[in-house]
Amino acid sequence: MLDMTGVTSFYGSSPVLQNVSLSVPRGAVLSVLGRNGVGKTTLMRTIMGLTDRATGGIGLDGRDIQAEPTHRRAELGIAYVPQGRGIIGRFTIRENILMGSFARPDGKRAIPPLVFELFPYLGENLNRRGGDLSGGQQQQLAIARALAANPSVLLLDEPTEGIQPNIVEQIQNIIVALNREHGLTIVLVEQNVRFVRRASQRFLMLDKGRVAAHGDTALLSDELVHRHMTV
Amino acid sequence: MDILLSQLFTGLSIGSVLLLVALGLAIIYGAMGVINLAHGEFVMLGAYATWLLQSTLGLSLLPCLFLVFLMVAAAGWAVERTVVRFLYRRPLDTILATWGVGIMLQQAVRLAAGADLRYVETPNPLSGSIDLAGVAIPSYRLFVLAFAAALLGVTWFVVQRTEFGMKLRAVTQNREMASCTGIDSARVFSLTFAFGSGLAGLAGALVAPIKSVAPDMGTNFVVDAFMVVVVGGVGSLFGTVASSGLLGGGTAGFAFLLNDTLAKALVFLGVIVLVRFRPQGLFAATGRR
Ligand SMILES: Nc1ncnc2c1ncn2[C@@H]1O[C@H](COP(=O)(O)OP(=O)(O)OP(=O)(O)O)[C@@H](O)[C@H]1O
Ligand SMILES: [Mg+2]
Repeated sequence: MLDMTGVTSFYGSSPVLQNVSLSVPRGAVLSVLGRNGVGKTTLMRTIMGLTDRATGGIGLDGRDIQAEPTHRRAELGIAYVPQGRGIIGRFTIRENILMGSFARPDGKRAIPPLVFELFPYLGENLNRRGGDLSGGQQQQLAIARALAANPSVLLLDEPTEGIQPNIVEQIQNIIVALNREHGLTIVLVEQNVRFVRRASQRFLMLDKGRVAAHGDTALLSDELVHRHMTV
Repeated sequence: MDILLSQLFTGLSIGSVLLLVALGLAIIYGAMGVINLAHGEFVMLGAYATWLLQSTLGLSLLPCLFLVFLMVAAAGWAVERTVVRFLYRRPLDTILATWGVGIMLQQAVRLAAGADLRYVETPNPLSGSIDLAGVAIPSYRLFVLAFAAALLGVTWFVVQRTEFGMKLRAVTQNREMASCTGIDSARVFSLTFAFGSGLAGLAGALVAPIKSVAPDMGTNFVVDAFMVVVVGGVGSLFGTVASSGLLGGGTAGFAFLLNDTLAKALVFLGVIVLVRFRPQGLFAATGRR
């Protein structure tokens, strides 16, 4: 579904991500792990085409998208929930969600019913400003916006970071449901190893911008976690 | 009393043309942070386009307006595509480049149309005046005021109520996130630049019958329009409107009491004092981002 082969990605002239290859089969969840600053966010931004420059190949459904600009990648079915959530503060909840639908190639502009089902709070407060929401609500909104694009691949960058514990579990359940019940292919950046083991079939461990280990989640041993994730 | 009313009216019509110029400038600056020093030349192009259409095709002003909008918008689009878009991350270079573009446009028009002043006729049905509470108000000035108000309404509608406007607001607030939702920000910028230029062109068409048309006529407009944007505050449509009225009225008022030059100087002084104490302008957009 989504593949990278030998991708090196730059900010300015420094190669933050080096020679990264990965492959996410359709309907799978790939978790990306690693310490702070190893390049997890950069990996997501590289898939979206947001770094200054990238070499190597990025393919979606067998089609090379490396030369496509960011907005085309979105139209081709990749939706991104960034680490800072990227909510438009002066937009209402409705506008923030509808904005996601601009990526729909069929031109349909509507909030999908699934959004109301998963996030009743958003549905009941469509006219509140995005900037006035709590962190957890903004995270829900960012996921809702991504879903409005009717994507085939969802990129989630630390979706539970900085969120109250009682809401964390709710968001985790929604991520699992999006994958298992709604068939979304997901790339998930996540520090919580227990959740990685629960949600994903594949993992990719980054260290200093390179792939340190990858494979089936069953192979994600405590020893690996210890070696590449403890500070 | 009568003189006051007629002065007030002159102030309003000056203000309304100023509003059209400033509106384009403010939209372009607000959306992409580009200080477009060639903006006055788009006013000039609008005036010349009107003159050209009138002298070659014999079109009267009113049917010209739509064509002038399209012509100047196309010119703006071309400038954005060929120059401005390469400079989005370099504000200082944009200022210099647009200044250069402005000079080139001025010289090109001087070469093509000659340096003589050109005149555009007031359309016949609007050449008389209307009696308002005992004061004769030129109908053309009334028309300018109404037309500017209508364009303001159209602009508000485009920005706040259309899909294009929503894309524009999204790109303005978070360009990266906007492109991640499928918005082609380069295209949004080109069209916005074209729209702002088109508005300036319309302002040029509207003043053509009131003022003489000359290659360097844009310079004054761009200075005044900048003052409007600075006083009104960036990112506030209402601020742009209010400060156009304020500056138009102020200029007309002082000019009535003193003389034109002194009026300009006083208004300028007022703007400097205001910017000293309220650098964000009178009505800067507030709120969390
Ligand atoms: N816009 C940027 N310009 C230059 N360097 C950057 C930029 N963004 C990130 N970097 C650098 O790239 C490296 C990787 O950053 P990245 O944000 O991808 O890490 P991360 O794994 O997501 O970290 P965290 O767990 O803290 O989110 C860091 O050294 C960072 O300083
Ligand atoms: Mg990160």
